[in-house]
Amino acid sequence: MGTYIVRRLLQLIPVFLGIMVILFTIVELSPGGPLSAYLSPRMTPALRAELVERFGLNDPPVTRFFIWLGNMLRGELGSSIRLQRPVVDVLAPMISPTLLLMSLSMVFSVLVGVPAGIISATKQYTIADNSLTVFSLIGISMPSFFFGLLLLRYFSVELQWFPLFGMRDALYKPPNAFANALHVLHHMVLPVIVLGMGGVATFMRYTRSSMLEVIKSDYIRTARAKGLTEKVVIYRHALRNAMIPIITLLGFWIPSLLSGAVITESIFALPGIGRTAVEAVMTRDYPIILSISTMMAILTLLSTLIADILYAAADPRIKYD
Amino acid sequence: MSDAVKTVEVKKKFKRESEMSYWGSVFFRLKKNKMAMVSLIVLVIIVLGCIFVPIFSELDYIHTNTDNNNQPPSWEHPFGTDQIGRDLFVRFFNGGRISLGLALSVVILEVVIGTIMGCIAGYYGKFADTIIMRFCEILMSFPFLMFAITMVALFGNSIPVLIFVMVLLTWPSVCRIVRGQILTLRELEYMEACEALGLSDWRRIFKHLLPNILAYAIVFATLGMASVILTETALSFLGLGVSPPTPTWGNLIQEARNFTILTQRWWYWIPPGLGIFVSVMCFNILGDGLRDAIDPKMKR
Amino acid sequence: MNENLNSINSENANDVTNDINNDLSNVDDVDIGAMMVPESGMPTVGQKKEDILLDVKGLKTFFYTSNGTVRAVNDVDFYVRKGETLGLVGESGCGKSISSMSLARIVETPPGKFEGGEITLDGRCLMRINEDERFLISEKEMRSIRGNEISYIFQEPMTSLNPVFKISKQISEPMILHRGMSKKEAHKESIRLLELVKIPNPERIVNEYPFRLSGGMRQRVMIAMALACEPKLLIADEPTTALDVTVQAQVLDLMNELKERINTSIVFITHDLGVIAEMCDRVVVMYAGKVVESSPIEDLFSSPQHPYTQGLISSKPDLVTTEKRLNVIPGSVPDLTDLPPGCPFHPRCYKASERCKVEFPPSHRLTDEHLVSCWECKGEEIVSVSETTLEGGEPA
Repeated sequence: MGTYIVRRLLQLIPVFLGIMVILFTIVELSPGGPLSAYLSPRMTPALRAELVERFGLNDPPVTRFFIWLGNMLRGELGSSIRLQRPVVDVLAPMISPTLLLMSLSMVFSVLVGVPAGIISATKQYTIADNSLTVFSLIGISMPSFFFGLLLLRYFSVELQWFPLFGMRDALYKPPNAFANALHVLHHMVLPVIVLGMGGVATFMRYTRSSMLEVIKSDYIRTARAKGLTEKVVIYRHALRNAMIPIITLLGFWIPSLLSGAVITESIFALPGIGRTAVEAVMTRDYPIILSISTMMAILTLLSTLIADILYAAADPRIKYD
Repeated sequence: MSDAVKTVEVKKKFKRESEMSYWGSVFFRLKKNKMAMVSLIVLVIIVLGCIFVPIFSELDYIHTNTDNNNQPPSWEHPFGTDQIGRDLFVRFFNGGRISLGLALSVVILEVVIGTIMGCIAGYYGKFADTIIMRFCEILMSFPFLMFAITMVALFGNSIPVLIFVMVLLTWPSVCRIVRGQILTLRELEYMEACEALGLSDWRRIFKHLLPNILAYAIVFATLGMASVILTETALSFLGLGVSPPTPTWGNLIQEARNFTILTQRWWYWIPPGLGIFVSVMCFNILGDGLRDAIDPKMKR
Repeated sequence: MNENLNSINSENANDVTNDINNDLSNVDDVDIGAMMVPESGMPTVGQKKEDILLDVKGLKTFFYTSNGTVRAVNDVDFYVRKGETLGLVGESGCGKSISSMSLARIVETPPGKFEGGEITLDGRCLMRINEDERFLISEKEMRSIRGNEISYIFQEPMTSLNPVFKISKQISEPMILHRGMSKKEAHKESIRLLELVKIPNPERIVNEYPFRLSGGMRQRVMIAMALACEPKLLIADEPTTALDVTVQAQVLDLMNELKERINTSIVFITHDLGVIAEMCDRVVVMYAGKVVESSPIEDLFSSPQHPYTQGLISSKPDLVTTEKRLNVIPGSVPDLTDLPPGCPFHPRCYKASERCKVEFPPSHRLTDEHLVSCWECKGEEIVSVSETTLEGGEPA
C-alpha cells in the first residue's frame, strides 16, 4: 500500500510540471506579459525598466520558469498587486471557509445522493424511482447561480429563514463556541445546498446505474438462491459492489466542487478562495490568480490520487503491487 | 391458408426492420422515446425563437427608452423592460443566440479536435499516443472554472477567448473516448481485412473507423451542449464571460445580483434562468435518449 | 436420416443403464415395474407418492415486456424422484432455466409472472395457480427453502460468486442462515466442504477472494455452497458449459460422487447430450416453453420419438457413422412472444402435417415413462395407447 501511494505520487510529478509549464506560458503569452497588471498610460520607460529589473525579466524564459517554480514550491507566492500584501497572508484566512463549504457539500451530496440512488434502483420504474430520476435530471440541468438566486429570493428575502450573505453577521458576538458554530452553520445552509445540489444529482445517477448493473449480476442471483432476505441481498451483497465506482467518484468530484465553490461563494459573498479569485480577475491581480490556480491544480491532482487509493482499497481485485 | 398469410406478414415486418439503415433504425428507436422527442421540439422552438425574434422585432437589444423603464411584462414587452428601457424579450432571444451559438461552436470544435487527436492517439499508438494522452491528462487536471478565470484575467473577456478556453479544456474527454473506441475497433477482424487490402492509413481511419465513432460523437456533442451552456453562462454570470451590453443568458441573470432587482423585478432574471435550465435539461434528455437509441443494450 | 437417429453409441447407453440401476438400488426401493401407468406424465394413480420429491404440473411462467408477452414456460409438467437425476434438455431460450428458476421462485417478478401450475416439493405444496385459486407460499417460507431444500449451481462460475467477499463468508452464509451455525462453526464447516469438493489447500483457499481461483475451482466452490445445507434437490443449470473439457469431466464426476454421498436429487440442465448421457436417469426435452418428450435415458438415445429430439440427437457429432456432414435442424428457435399456432416445432419439423399447424399435441404414452407430445409419432408407438387414455391425458 505504501509503495503504491509513493509510486502514484511520483507519476503525478510530470503532470504537475506540465500544469506549471502551461500556466507559465499563458502568463508569458498574455498581452503585456507578466507586467500587464502594472501597465498604465503613465508608465515611463524608466519605470518599466526598473520593474523588468526587479522581476528579473531579462533572464531567459527557462531560467525564469524554474525560479518561479522554486518560489511557488517554497510558498513564496509573491505579493498581491492590489492589496500590497503577501499572497500567503491574503489567501490563508480564505482557505478554511472554502474547505468548510466544500466538505459540507460533499457530505450533503453523499448522504442524500447515495441513498436516493439505492431507493431509485431497488424500486425501479415505481413512482419513487421516476420522481427521483426527474429530480436528478433537474439537479444536473439547473444552473447553480440561478438556483442560488431562487433560494435567496425565497428563503432569505421572502421567508427570512436564512441570512442573505456572508459567513457571519458583522455585529454578532457569539457567547460560546457552540453558538458560534451554529451561527456559521446557519449561514452555510443555502450555500451548501446550492453547491451540493449538483453532487446529489450526480451521486444519485451513478449510484442508481451502478446498483442496477450489480442487481442484474449473477452473484446477486446466487445470493437470492441461498435464501437470504432481500435486505441482506441488497444492502450487503449488492451495495458493497455498487459502491466501488461511487467511492472513486468521491475523489473525482473534488475538482467539480472547486469550480462550484467559485460560483457559490460569489452568490453568497462568502470570504473564500473562489470569491477572491473572481475579485482578483477584475483587478488583474495575477500573483493571486496564479497562486490559486496552482493550489487548485495540486488539490485536483491529489484528489485523483485519493480516488485511486480509495478504489484500490474498496476492490479486493485491485492489487497495489 | 390464413397461417400462410400470417407468415408472409411476419416476414414483411422483419424485412422492414432489417431493411432500415443504421441511422433509420436509430431514429426509429428515438421516436419511441417521448421525453426525448418533446425535448427535441422544445429545443427547436427555442432555436427558432433565437433566430427569428431578433430579426422580426422592431426593437433591437440596445434600443433604450428611459420613459419606459423597469416595466413588468405586458403585451408590448412580454418580458418587461430594464432600467434603461431595453426590451427584455428581445434581449432574451439575443442572449439565447449568443449563448447557444457559442455553445454550438465550442462543441463542434471540441468534438472535431478531440476526434482527430483521439484517432491519431488510438491509431498510431506508441509515441503519439503517449504525448497526446499525457497532454490530455494535464489539461484535465486543471480545475475548469479556475483555468477559465486565469485565462480571462490575462487575455481579457471576449468571445474568442471564451471559445478557446472551453475548447482547450473539453477536447481531452472526447479524445479519450474516441481513443478507447479506436483501440477496441482496431482489434476487430474487419480492420485486419482493410490492412490485407492494402488501404492507406487515412482511408482506413476515415472510411472505416470514423463512421463507427460518429454515433458516440453525436451523443457526446448533445450532452456537451448542456455542459458548455452551463459553463458559459456561469462565466458570464461571474462577469468573466461575454461583456455587456451584448446580452447572454448568463449576464442577463447577473443583473439579479442587484438586491432591488432580485427582490422586486423578477422579470429581469427568471426568464433567462429558465431559458438556461430548460435548454440544458432538453439537451440532457435528448443526449440520454440518443445514447439509448444508438446503443439499445445500454437501456434498462 | 433414420440411420443417424438410431446410431447412438450403444455401449455408452448400456453403461448408463447399468449406472442408473445401481443408483436406483442405492436409493429408496424404487420399483419402476410396480408403477402403474400414470397420466400425461404426471405420476398420480398408483405411483408411490413418497418416491416423488418434486412434482411440477402445468407450470406457466410468462414475462411481460415492452415487446410483448414472452411465454418462457408454457404448461410444463415434470417430476423428480428421490435420489434421481433428471436431465432438462433443449436449445438456449427453450425455457429450461426459467422452469428451474421458477421452482424456488428466483425469477425476477416483475417482469416475470407465474400464470399457472402446481409445484409440490416432498409432499408440500409450494404453488398452486389455476383459474379458481392463486396460492403461493409466503416469501419467508420460500426463503427457508432456497439454499436449504432447493439449491442451485449456475452456469457462470466466473461471475456467480460475489467478488468482494471471501470464499469462507460465501459458503458460510446459507449454513448460518438455515442451520443456525455460529460464524466460527460455519467457517470450519466451509473448510470441510471445500475438502469434500476436492479443493487443494482448503484452509488457505477459504480465506481467498474468488478472483484468485480458476473457473473450475470456482465451480467447485459453488457446488460446496449449494451442498452446504444438504439440499433435497440440487438444480444444476449448465454447470459445466463454461468450463474446459477436462475440468468439465472432473466436475461431473464430482457431482456424481457427491450425489451418492448426500443422496440428493438433481435437476441437471444442459444442451449437451453427452453430459446428459453421463449424468441422468431420465430426460425431459423442452422446446419453446413446452415439454416435447420425456423418457428414461436409454429410451431417449435408442428410440427418440419426437422429431425435435431426433434432430437433437442426430445433430450431435458421432464417431460411428460415416456421413460427412452433421445433421442440423432447419430453421431457428421461434420468437417466444410470437409463437406459431399449434405445435411450436411445426415450422421446422420434417413430419409436420396440417393438424400440427393448428393444435398442440397432447402427451402420448409410449411406455411407462416414455411420453411424447407429437401427432405424428403414433405410428412408431412402442406400446399402443388406447384412444380414451390418450384423451384423458390431454392437458386442458
